[in-house]
Amino acid sequence: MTEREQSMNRIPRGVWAWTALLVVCALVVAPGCSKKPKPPTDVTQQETPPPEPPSEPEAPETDEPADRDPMTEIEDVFFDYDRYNLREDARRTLEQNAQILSNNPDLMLTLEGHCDERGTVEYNLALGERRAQSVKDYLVQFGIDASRLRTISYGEERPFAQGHTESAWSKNRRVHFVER
Amino acid sequence: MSHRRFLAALALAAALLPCLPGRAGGQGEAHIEIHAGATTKIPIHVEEFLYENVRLIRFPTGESPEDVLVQDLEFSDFFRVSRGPSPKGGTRVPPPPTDIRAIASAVIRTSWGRRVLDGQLRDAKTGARIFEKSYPLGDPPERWAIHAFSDDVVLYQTGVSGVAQTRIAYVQDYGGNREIHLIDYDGHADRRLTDLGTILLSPAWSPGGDRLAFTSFGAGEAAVVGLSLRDGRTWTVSPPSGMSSSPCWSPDGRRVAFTRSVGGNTEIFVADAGGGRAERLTVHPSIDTSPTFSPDGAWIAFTSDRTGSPQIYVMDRDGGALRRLTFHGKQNDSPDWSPEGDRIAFVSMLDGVFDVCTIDSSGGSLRRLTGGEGTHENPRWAPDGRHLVYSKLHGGKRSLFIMAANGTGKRALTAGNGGQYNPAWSPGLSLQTAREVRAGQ
Repeated sequence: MTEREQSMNRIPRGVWAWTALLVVCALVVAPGCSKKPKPPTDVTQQETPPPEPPSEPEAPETDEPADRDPMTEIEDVFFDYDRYNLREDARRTLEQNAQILSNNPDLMLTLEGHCDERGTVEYNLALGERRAQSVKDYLVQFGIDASRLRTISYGEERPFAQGHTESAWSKNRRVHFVER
Repeated sequence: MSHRRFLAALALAAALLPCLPGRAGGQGEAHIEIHAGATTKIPIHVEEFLYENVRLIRFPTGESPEDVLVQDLEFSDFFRVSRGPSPKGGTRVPPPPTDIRAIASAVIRTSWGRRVLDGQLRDAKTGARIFEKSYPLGDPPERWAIHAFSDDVVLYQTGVSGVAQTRIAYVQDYGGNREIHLIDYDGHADRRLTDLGTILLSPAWSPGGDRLAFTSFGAGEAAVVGLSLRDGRTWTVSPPSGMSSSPCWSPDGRRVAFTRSVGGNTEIFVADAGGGRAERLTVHPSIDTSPTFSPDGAWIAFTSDRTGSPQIYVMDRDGGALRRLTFHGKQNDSPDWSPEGDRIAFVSMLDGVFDVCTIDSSGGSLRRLTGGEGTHENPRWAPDGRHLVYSKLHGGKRSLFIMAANGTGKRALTAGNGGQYNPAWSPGLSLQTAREVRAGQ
């Protein structure tokens, strides 16, 4: 039993129904946002993030459109400064991503390692490589075939957020998933 | 690690302990002296150039050839320069200051239809000629000819080569793509060298100044690519698989050391400059990158995070005799070995930003050369060992700066429009090499 399953069993079913309703509402109100990764809001508290609600509503699978693009469900993972170890929030995200990869056996991904602008170009290329590899290793642990996962590091050369503050930097320290 | 090597490392660490800044005072790590040099400068005098049946020369900037010579000599950091009219110009001229050691003068004339500068340096006391040499000016006249004259003045007065005949290669951000630019050492003639439509990073000059190696994303994943400045030919230096980056040439120009990823972890490799089989030098499950050769080719300094944060290490060219060089500060990165071999420039995270520092290649005598606003990256030595170029990120813009190796005389190299980083200072380029590079573009 995974950590997530355990935590799900502890929560009363009524909460799940409300959560499901909320998630459905959110998807209807802001469909454009569903593809965006969720960057951490406060990096100082990342070691103990609050348990996130499950991203999928507890509904019969038949309600899901069969041809739904699995890439909309794959989420990026984020890192602390000068680190390539996976934070708890990153591990949760990757477990969800692994599930999606299992459900879509033809899905091939490129794992792009990115860094914030601090540190040298050369070091950040190496750091981005390590981040992508950490993510690959974790997904492989969850049974995903390594040949489906290609890594590439862009270092600090392809920032997602412009700006020179922690708010931009925290969004740029990521592994981004691209279908190939 | 052998027992003896371990003892040597221990002894080195013990020897370095007293050097650790901020230890005694407990005031943190940033208590490093900003070194202000005060070397005695040679007083030298530049006479107004004479013209023999040739129209007055002005460069597009409005500068005269003397203006360029004076700038070059002042930049060399060896001279205190005065200037005045020529006694041969027909007017009565006051004598130059009495402490002048040497006087530079020139006559510009035509020879077989081409303009030539006859440069001369003479002893101020005796009037004896120190050297006299003709420099083809080019058409239109090129600053490079004046740079060549200046470098000879430096050479004949100090015994070392000047850096007026050098260029700096750097990376220009084109909003997604990154291309290599070349700019003359004095900030003139900035031009785009490559048009490869991809991300190029970390240019490095071959010792002969006729080739560059750099990181290229042209094949998807980063690879180390060579470029001939004579004919524009490119080739891949690194092996076909595994991200490769951060090249540096061996001093004999035959080999290129670089970073290559093995199973997602970067290690230092070395290969023939023309490509082919790569030999692995480091074996460690942490980041190793940014190699730089000592000028005798026997040692390589590099960055590794094997203790949990990036620090500078030194190993021999076969990967042995490893020692840690930097012990202060949270992060130290981007080493570049000085041309004399005595110092290593690098960046150190102090006060939350990176500053340029230098340290003895034995690990002592740490100096901090930048401070204040902005964060500083990629210090690279000039071939004279007396100057450094680096990039500075401030106010959201990255641009290039030059300073003397003691931290004085900081000045902007590139215009302030931003997106300029990863500088690399060329070796001395003869007029001939400089012109060939131009033809190859």
